[in-house]
Amino acid sequence: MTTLTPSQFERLQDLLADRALDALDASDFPELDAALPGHNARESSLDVAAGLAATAMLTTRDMDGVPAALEQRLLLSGKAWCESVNAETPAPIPFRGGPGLRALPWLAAAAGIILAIIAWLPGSSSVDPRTGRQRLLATSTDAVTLSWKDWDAPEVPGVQGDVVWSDSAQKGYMRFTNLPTKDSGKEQYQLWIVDSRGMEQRISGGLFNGGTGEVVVPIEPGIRVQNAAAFAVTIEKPGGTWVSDMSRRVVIAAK
Amino acid sequence: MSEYLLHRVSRGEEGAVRECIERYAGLVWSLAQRVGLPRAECEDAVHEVFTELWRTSGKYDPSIASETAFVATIARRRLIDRRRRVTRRPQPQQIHDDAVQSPAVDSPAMISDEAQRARAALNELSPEQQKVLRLSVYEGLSHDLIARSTGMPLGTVKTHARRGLIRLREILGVPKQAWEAGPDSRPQGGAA
Repeated sequence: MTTLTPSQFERLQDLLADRALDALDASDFPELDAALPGHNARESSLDVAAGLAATAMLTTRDMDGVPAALEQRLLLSGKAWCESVNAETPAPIPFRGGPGLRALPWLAAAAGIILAIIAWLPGSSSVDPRTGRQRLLATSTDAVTLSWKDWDAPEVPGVQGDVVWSDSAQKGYMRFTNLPTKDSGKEQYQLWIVDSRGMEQRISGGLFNGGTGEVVVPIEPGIRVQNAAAFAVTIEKPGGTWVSDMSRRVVIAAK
Repeated sequence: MSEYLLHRVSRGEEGAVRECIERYAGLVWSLAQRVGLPRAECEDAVHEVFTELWRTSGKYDPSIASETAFVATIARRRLIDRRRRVTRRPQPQQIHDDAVQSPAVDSPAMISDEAQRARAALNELSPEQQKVLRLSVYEGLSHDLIARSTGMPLGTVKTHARRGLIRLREILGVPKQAWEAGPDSRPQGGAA
C-alpha cells in the first residue's frame, strides 16, 4: 500500500481543484493520470464544490427559458431511455400521463413514435429504426449527429437529414427527407463510410431504396468502423458494389 | 424503495424522467451558456448531459451530494469536456471592469436550498478567493486571463482558486472520496 506524504496529498488536491476549474496545464495531465489512474471517469468532491458554486452564482438573468426544440429532444431522449430500461425488466411500468398541459410533450412524443411506426420501411433489423435511433442517442455517450449536404453536383439534389453514428456501439442511423424511392430492380442507394483508414478503404454501410416523407435507415457495416470521419451516399446497381467509382453522388456528411 | 428522483429515473419511470427535465433542464441550459460554449453547441451539449444523467442516475448517492449538486457536477464536467473538444476556451478581447470588480447585481436564481447554502458559503471566503472563483466559474475565464485582468500574479490566482475551492468544499461539508487520495492510499496527517 502506498502512503502519501502531506505534501503529496496537498499536491493531489491542487490538481483536482485545477481539474474542477478547467485550469489544468497540459504538463499537469500526465502527473494526475499517474497519481490517480482512471480519475477522468470520476467526479471528485471538488467537482461537486465547483458545481455547487456554479449553481449558486447563477442569477435570474441567466435562467432564460430552455428552447422548445431542445425540451422536446430531451423528452424523446428520456422516453427512449425508459423504453430501453423497461425492455430489460420483466414488469415494465406503464406511462401514466400527468394532469393537464404537462402531459402534452409526452403525447407529442408518443404521436411521433406512432408516425414513425407507420412510416417505417421494413429492413433487416427487428427494431423500428426510429426507436433504434432515439435509443442510440439516449444511451450512447459518443454518438455524433452529422447533417447531410449535397455532394458536389448531386444526381439527386435537395436531400436533407442527418446521420447518427456511435463508434463504440458500431451502430448508426441515417435519416432522409426528399430522397426519391428507387426501383430496387434497377438501382439502389449505397452508403459508404470513410474511417481512419481513409477514402481508399471506404466501407459499405448498406443498401436502401429511399421513400416518401421522412425515412430512417439503419447503418449495417460489414466490418468494424474505426473512428468514422465521413458518410457518403451514391447510386449503384441493384445489390450494390464492392468498388464504386463514386460518379453518381447524392449526399455527404462529414465531421 | 428509494424515492429519490434520480433513482426513479434509473428504474425507467417516465414520470420521473419528465420531472427531472422540468426541474433541471433550465439549470443545465444556463450552465452551458455560462461555461463559454458557442451558442450553436449548447443544445447538443445539454442533450449530452441528460444522456449521461440517464445512464448515471442509478449511481446517485445521497450521502455524498444532493440531487441538484449531482446534476450540476455531471453537467459542468461534461460541458467542460465538450468545450475542450469543440473549441479553445473563448477569450474575450476585453474584460468589462464590472465583471472584474464586482459581482453581478442581478438577483440570484432560486434553484435549490443547497444553492442558497453555497451562496452563503461563498461569502465566507476571502474577497480575493471570491473574486477569482467568480471569474473562473461564472465568467468562464482562464486563470491566465484572470491574472491579466486583475493584475494578480498567475501563481496568486491559482492559489486563491485552489484554496478557495477547497475551503468551499469544507464549509459545505462535501465528503472526500477514498480514491481522491490516490490508489490504495490514505493521507498522513490532516492536510487539506
